[in-house]
Amino acid sequence: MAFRRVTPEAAAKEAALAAGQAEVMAEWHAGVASDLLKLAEAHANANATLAAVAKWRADQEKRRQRWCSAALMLIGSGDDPDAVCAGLGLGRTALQQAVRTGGPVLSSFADLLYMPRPKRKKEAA
Amino acid sequence: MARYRRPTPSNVTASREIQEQILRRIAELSATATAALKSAANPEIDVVTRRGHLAAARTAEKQIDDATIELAAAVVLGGGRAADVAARSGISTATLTRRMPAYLRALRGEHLVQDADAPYGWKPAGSVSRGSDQAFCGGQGHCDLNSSGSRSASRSPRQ
Repeated sequence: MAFRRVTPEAAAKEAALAAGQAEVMAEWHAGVASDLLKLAEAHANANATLAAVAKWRADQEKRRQRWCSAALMLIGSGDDPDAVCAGLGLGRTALQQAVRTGGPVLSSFADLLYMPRPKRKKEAA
Repeated sequence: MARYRRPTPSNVTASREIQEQILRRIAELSATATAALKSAANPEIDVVTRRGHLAAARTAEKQIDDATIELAAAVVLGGGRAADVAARSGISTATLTRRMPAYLRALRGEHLVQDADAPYGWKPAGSVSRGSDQAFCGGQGHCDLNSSGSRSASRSPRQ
């Protein structure tokens, strides 16, 4: 098992968050794609095209993190982790790594992961 | 024989047309992604349905990623230098040259004609005859390549 199983109450709470995240991502998508869409209506010149491409490609890392948190929210709302990883094209290990190193937003999903048990000294008999 | 990589006049026309074509495709993909994300934002649906919507949006975004590289390749076809296009588009030169469609790359320097069956709607005229430093168009219609400008034989420095 890669991720902990979630309780139904936590899953319901997370599902609401996942819906909100999808809304945010829709707005963000509209923002970065706006120049490309404008050019599709009325094409200007090559420089405008390249500028629109640059706008789309800016901040790739942030975009990946958003998709990671969307995936983690799905897993948190009780979906099958393997199906989520396959559907969104994110590696399971990469997703776990993102939780460990991905900054404050992603590390809030740390309770989905199994943590190594702390070492214990053998008790003297 | 080495290929002429200087863009021909029909390369410039084709570049513009192909850019418009790819931009239209991007607009469609973007509409798909937006619709999928909006459906995923509905709080009433269950997780499996939401996963389906998000997967559709993610696929569309990845396809837009690929299409932007084709878009940059279309600019290269119209005479942009790879280094210049890379700097303006934010795609690194290595990524751009490695991932640009081989078909588009091969079109540069060729005289092109429109063909609905060819990829991107353009194909090499296939009847170009070349001098030692010139490319001449063998097409039937009027072509800038043969008539005037710095590529014309009448202005060749040897005469």
